[in-house]
Amino acid sequence: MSSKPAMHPILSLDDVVHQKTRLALLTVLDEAGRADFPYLKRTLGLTDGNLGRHLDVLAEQSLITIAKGHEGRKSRTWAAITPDGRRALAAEMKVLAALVQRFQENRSD
Amino acid sequence: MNSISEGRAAGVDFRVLRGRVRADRRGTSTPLLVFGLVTAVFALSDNVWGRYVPAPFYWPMATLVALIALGLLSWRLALRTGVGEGRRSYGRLAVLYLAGMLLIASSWWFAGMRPLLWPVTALFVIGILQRDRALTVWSGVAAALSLLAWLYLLLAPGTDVTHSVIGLGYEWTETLIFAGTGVVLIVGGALLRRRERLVA
Repeated sequence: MSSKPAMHPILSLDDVVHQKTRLALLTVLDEAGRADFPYLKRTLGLTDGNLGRHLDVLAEQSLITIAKGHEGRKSRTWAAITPDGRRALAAEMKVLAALVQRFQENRSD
Repeated sequence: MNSISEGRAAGVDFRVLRGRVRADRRGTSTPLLVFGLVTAVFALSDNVWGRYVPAPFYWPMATLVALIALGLLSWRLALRTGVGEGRRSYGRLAVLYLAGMLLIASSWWFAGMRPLLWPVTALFVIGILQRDRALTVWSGVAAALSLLAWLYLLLAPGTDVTHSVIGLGYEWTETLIFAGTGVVLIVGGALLRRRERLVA
């Protein structure tokens, strides 16, 4: 009887988190806790549409929350990372680390 | 934190991105500057103007003042720049600290540990909670230096009001150690603020 082969770490990647822009957004929010739209746009060099689309995807998965507020007459929108978002980012880092380790092991064989 | 989260993968340079956000938050220099300033002012006011809170609460109170000041500063910075307070907000830390302080107010911690350790210990814990290596290292160095200076003061001969380590007498030598700890933190904060401005 043959033992079940170990699953390749690449299969554990979460498509929602792994996408480059969303990974960068989660990294910024993990460090900042929360950030407003202009800051995220400026820091990551995104357009309004692009940023909004990626934040919606993360919010749908409850990885971030989006809060709209007002400051005087100006509206201001904040994105904040949730505990689920922090967990998903940590899990992604773990998978990426496993992939790099596997690659290095294969190369040294 | 593993090598990936500090390095580059999937097209994202995590180290640079985290460093930039931290620099935008002035996340390392502000706690050092605020705690340094509060420590130096409390140290001097202790000897020059006299204590205005009971002795066991003096340094714990200084720590609380520093945490509240940090909370207000980071809240203002968040409104101005759009970048949040970080992994653990200082306001929440101040509330937790106050609860902890009240819970253990009469324990051995007040009686057995030198009070100066309160601010630097709090700063060291903040560094660990926020995963900020520079803040942890700098506050750890300040804590170690102040502890060594305090031990020297305790163990040196003639530890009473006539005691003199550097010809200043016991109380002024103690004040010098306390204020010196504050200055070490301020110098660290100023150096790191310059670096943050370059990164941001």
